[in-house]
Amino acid sequence: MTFRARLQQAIIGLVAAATGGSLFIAQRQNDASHRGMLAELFDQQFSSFRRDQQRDIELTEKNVLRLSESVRLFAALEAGFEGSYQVAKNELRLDDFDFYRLLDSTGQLLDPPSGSRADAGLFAPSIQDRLKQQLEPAKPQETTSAGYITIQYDDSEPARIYRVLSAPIRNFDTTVGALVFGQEMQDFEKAEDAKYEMGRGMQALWLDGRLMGSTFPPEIAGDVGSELSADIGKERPLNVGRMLRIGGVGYRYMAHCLNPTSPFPPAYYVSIVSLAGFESQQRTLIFKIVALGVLAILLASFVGFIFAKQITQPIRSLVSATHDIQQGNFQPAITPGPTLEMRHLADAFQDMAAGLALKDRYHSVLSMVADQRVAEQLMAGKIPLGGELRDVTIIFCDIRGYTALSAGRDPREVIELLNKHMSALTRVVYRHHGVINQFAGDAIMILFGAPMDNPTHAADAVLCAQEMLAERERLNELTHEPLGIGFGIATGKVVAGCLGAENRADYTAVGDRVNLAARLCSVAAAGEIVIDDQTRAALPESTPSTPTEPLRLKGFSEPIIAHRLQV
Amino acid sequence: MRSFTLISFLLLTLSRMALADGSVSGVVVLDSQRPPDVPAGYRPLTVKPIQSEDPTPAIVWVEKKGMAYPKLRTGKAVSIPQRGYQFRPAVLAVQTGTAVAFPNMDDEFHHVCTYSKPYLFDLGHYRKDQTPEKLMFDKPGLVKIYCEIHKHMRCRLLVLETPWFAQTDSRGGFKINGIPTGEYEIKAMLPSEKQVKSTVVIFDGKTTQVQLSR
Repeated sequence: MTFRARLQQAIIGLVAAATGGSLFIAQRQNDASHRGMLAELFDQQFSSFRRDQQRDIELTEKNVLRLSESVRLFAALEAGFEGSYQVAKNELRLDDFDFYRLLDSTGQLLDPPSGSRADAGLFAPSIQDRLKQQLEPAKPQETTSAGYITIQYDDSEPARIYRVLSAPIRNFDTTVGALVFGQEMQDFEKAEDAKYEMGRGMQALWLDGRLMGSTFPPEIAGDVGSELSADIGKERPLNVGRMLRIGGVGYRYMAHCLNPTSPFPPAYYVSIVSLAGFESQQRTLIFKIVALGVLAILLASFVGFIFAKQITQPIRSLVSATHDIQQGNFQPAITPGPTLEMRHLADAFQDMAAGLALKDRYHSVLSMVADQRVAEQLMAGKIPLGGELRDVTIIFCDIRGYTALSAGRDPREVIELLNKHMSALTRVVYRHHGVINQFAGDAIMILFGAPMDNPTHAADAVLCAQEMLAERERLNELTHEPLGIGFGIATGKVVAGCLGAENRADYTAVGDRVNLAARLCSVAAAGEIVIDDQTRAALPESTPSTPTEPLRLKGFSEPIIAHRLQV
Repeated sequence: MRSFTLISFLLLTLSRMALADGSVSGVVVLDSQRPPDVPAGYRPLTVKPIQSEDPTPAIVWVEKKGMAYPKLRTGKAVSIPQRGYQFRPAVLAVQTGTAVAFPNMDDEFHHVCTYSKPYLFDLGHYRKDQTPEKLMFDKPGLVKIYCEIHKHMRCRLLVLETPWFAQTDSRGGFKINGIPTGEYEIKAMLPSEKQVKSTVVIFDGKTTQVQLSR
């Protein structure tokens, strides 16, 4: 995968992760703070609800306190006095209540006699029954109990809610009955905005499985009521809260029990907040974060793209430069990148290329002044100082009548002629695995079997000489410069290696065979190949040659029999 | 001398006639009292400290259905003063037709009322120097009398048709004299206002022993 693709992937991955992370955190925090806010709102609403009811509640408490002091009412109820309602009215300020009722010690509701009905709260007979039913739990208890009841005066009106407080009528430990006060509960305030402002909740009273409260939208009252009933169940938990969805909109309700220990059925103060506003806010937040994330990805990708180019382009240029160098161009064109590192890399690369170029020059120089194969062996470090004993064949080849040739000619011309000659013959030598040891003026010394082994060194040498001869003939034809060359070939053991000082040596071979080859060469006429015994022995029997008369050669004590090869 | 003898003979005869009735005596097993007076935490504001109630005995009486009782005990008016912030006595029996007075002996206002059927009266608040009217109790029943100002004050007045009743002592012992011979029902109202009953036969000049318990 390219650097750029990797970079893009990494960028996309990181930005997506960061976006996802921040989205998650933002949502969570938002949710938590919203929940906290809702709880606070609920507390506030509930306190304000309580405050509104406070005056009524205080009144009731005061009356209850007074009631507990009333001996008269106690005496009247104890005796079952019919005028007990009147006694009660005389004793207490019961005008502040919408109705009051007395119960005897068994919990039976005493109907107010006709005279006192107006004071005790006037109700139609059908309502009286319903009232009696709802006040059933008001049986005298140890302490006061609070409850809520509903009275429906008319089918066209919603039911009205009354808060009831029942208090035992007792004197120390004798309880003779109970008094029930009823006060109509103030209806809940309408929310300013009829629909679902986030700041306000809709309030209601939950009683007996139903939600009551005229400001409560009826379309959700049913669902909320049943959910609440399920949550409240039989246990009467003090606080209940839950989220639900109605018609695609989320709502959260919280309810607080108003009479946790009362024998009356449980009544809960309920507040509901629509989450529509919050949810849309949340969605906007998500959208914004995601949009930001996408934008960030695009931007980062673009920037990444540009920066990647700053790296990939110089690298590509360097890669093509290495190819150039491989091809032999040591000064390739490099586009350095704009970044500091890339510039350093380009400079280092160019230094390296220069170094390689130098090395290459050394190599070619070496190849030029030494045979290529010798040069290779030298560079490989395979030729130790000191030389080794090798079995080789040496050819000496020189030009007949060279001195006469060079006299009277322009030296440049001579050199040119010589170079052409040497080049041509060198090619031949190379083809036959020979190693040109040196050029000594017009003579060439060639080694076969050194520095690398060659089992057929003698045969190769002879073939080489013959072909050199043929090549010279060809050149003679071509250049109209007839030159005659002679060959002397000798085979045997020589010492071959770098002879000289440690840092200035020549690769050469020394030994009497070398001398012999040189001598034989001077004996050879133009076009003649003179070989020694050992060379002759290495050739096949069938090779035509004529032995020479015993030769007296300088440096050799005994006369030497050589052989002239026949062309 | 002769008139003296005659008078004394008559007196003896009369007394002999008087002693022709029988008596009943015995023991009533008492039960626990009504709520204790002045319980803890009850601290009405009073000028002087509240004193304890008189001990509450049981009341025993003898009755016979359909008998026309002589009005033996209606002569004297009965007084139930309020002293030391209590009705004294806290339990009393009177015969129907007795008038009862409720004088205030304390230095504070007191109040007397009752709703017990068939009575309904309220003497209002009055001080020591005021004398409220006497109340006539002419129907039998248990009358519970309260003082509105002082919640702990109670009085149980048992209005009986029979004149033959007595209060027990602190151990429940009682004696009722002057009951004509015959078979009667003997009832007792215990301090807890519960009633126990039994039957008794009265013999001339003899004292029948009886024990009443729940």
